[in-house]
Amino acid sequence: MHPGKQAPPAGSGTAAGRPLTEFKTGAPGCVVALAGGHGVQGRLIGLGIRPGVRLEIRRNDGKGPVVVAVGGARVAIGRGMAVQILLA
Amino acid sequence: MKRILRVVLAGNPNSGKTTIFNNLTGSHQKVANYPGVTVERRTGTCRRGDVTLEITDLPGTYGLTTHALDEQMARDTLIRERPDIVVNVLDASNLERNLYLTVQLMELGLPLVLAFNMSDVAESQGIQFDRAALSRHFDAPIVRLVGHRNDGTDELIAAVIAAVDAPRESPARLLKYRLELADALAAIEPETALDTGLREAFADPLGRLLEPRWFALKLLEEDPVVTAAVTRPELCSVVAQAIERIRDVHGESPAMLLADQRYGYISGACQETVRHTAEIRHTMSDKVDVAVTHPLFGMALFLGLMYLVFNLTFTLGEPLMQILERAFRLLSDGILAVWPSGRWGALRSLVVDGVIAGVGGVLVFTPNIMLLFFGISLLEYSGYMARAAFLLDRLMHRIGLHGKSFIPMLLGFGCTVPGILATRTLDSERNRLITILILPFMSCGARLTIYALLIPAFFPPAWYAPMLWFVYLTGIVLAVVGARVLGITVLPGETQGMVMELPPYRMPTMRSVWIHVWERTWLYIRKAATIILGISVLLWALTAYPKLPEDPVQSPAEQRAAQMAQSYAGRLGHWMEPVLKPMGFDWRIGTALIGAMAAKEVVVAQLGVAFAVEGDAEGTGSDSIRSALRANYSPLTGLSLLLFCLIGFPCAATVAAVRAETGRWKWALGQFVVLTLLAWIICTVVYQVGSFILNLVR
Repeated sequence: MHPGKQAPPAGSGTAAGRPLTEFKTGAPGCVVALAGGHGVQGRLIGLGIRPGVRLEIRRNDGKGPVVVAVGGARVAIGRGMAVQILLA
Repeated sequence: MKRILRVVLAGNPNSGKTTIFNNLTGSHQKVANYPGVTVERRTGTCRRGDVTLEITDLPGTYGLTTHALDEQMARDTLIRERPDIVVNVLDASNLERNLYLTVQLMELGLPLVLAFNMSDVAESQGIQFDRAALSRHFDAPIVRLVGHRNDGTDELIAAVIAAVDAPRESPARLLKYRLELADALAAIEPETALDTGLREAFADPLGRLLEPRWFALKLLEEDPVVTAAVTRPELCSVVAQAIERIRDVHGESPAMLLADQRYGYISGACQETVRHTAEIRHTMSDKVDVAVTHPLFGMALFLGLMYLVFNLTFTLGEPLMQILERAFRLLSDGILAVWPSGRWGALRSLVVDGVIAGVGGVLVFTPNIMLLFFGISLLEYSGYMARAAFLLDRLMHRIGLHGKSFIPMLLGFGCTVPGILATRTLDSERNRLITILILPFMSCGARLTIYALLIPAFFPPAWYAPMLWFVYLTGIVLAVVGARVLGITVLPGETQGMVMELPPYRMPTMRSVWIHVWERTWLYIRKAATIILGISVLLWALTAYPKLPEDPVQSPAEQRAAQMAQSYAGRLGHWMEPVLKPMGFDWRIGTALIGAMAAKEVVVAQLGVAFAVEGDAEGTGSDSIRSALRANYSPLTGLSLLLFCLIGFPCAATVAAVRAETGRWKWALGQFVVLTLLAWIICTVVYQVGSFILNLVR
């Protein structure tokens, strides 16, 4: 149903990816890794933002929080946390 | 035979859980806090024939980790209270993400009923469920619901009762973990079974233990609470080895791998059972959001909406407030007329001057409170508040808080107490405490009455607006500085970044709005009837005793002033004078400030009494108070007094609310002392430096 889960290659924790904050409004991306501690990862995963998932940047004004569309939901992410999400 | 079933509602934020809770329990609900913490605990009952459902509404969560306080509370409730059934409310139009919590509930081994809420939305989007097949995958009956139309409530109740009666095995057996995880679990499970200390730490009151599998999962996830409970060193080393191995092979943490497999299970289940045509959810919301979340346009809209809410609160509230004021005056006049002054004079005065004046003075604000919360809940339930938090996040981030803290601070301009109550929506305990502690800097409506009296007394008309603006702005600046200082000193730690769902816009149901408004209003009324009542009686006694003998030569006003001067409050004022002098205050202002501790408005009434102004007990002779003030004090004292009323002596209701919400006297009294000291320092500096400069100029 939802954006197909393309399993990242093994060892993707260190795979190259650019922080979500560098993507412009309207850009699609695939999460390759979540940086940050367990707390950050846990909260993002609960919201369905995890390696392998496709998402779309709905709003990135260059400063302040960003909005992404992920699996039918819209999620606002503070900038400090958004840089921890690496996209390809 | 009568039966009581303990039911717990669990689900994601915005899944419509609270609406379903309201549908189930109607008005049979109560709100309390979890012991020792500030997360709200909502319970209610629902009767069907002989069966009574005792329902607890857990805080909305996306998972059952310990990263956030509300998730931890939800998990603790499930483990310690071991409900007979868990009703998991899911947003059917966003099923996969919602099922992530479901899988974690299954891991706990609790029997589930799945409530597919917003099924109408899902169906209108062309999503089709094979409910029978899904039900097998999650080992739970599935009920189709439309919460906001109260559809499916009876079916849900029936399903809950039926599910309790059907004995089932733990749903955890369905979940299979693959690869290294399976090996690791196999190695850890028997060890956890030996660690009785660990297992008993999570037993329910009847001594029932959780399954070893759950402990093994949590240890692999490096869950701090479960890890800390381990007693056997052997278990620690087995877990450490397993984690090490998984990291080696996969290059990621077991927690991440587990999350992956949970989502894998969900995808697998949904692939066969859910058919999706196109993703059209949110299209309307997205279009609206282009404007609403725009940095400039959105901000303008936000300011406009806030202005509207406050304007309505005061313009619609004013006439209602006057009606209540008149009612209380009629009541006290009536009592004075029926009750001759000679008999039981002290009791008569206590009832009229103490109870009715004190409690009535606070209760008259009830319409404003109701209107304010009506506006706020409309914005909240429509989904707008999440957008407001989004817009303000950047601003609030600069002072070490995040967007969600703005709403309580905004409410603080109406009244500090509802502002404190509104901090319940903040997800981090630290942010919540900082917000509560700086809230009194927002000038509340009661303080506006003081400013309205003092500014015209001391300053020329051209200065009215700038002075008022200056006082409000000083409060905001102090709040900003206060938040930063607290964030560095008393409550260090990083601001947890904001992650928040922006739910699709929805039409709020009047039922939910009304329940919310009434809940907040009732808290307010209860406070007036308990704490405010006690303090009003105390203050009355302080100003009424010891009694002076009646002097027929003096006018009643002169007599009141003389009574005041030698009453306990007056003596207290005299006694405090050395401390008050540096700020430019005398004992009369001192007695008025003692009144401010009960409620800020009391300052106005008390100054009226101190200057023996002719007028009724409400102190309406404001012009004569103003000329008396002008005759007795300099404008510099006036400025100093304005600042003291802004900063010092948070009112009794605030102290009580802070105590109730933080669960600790430490914060309530600490806030009181620090704010009052700060007020003293600022007022002293302003008065002394001001006097020095004025002397130079002269």
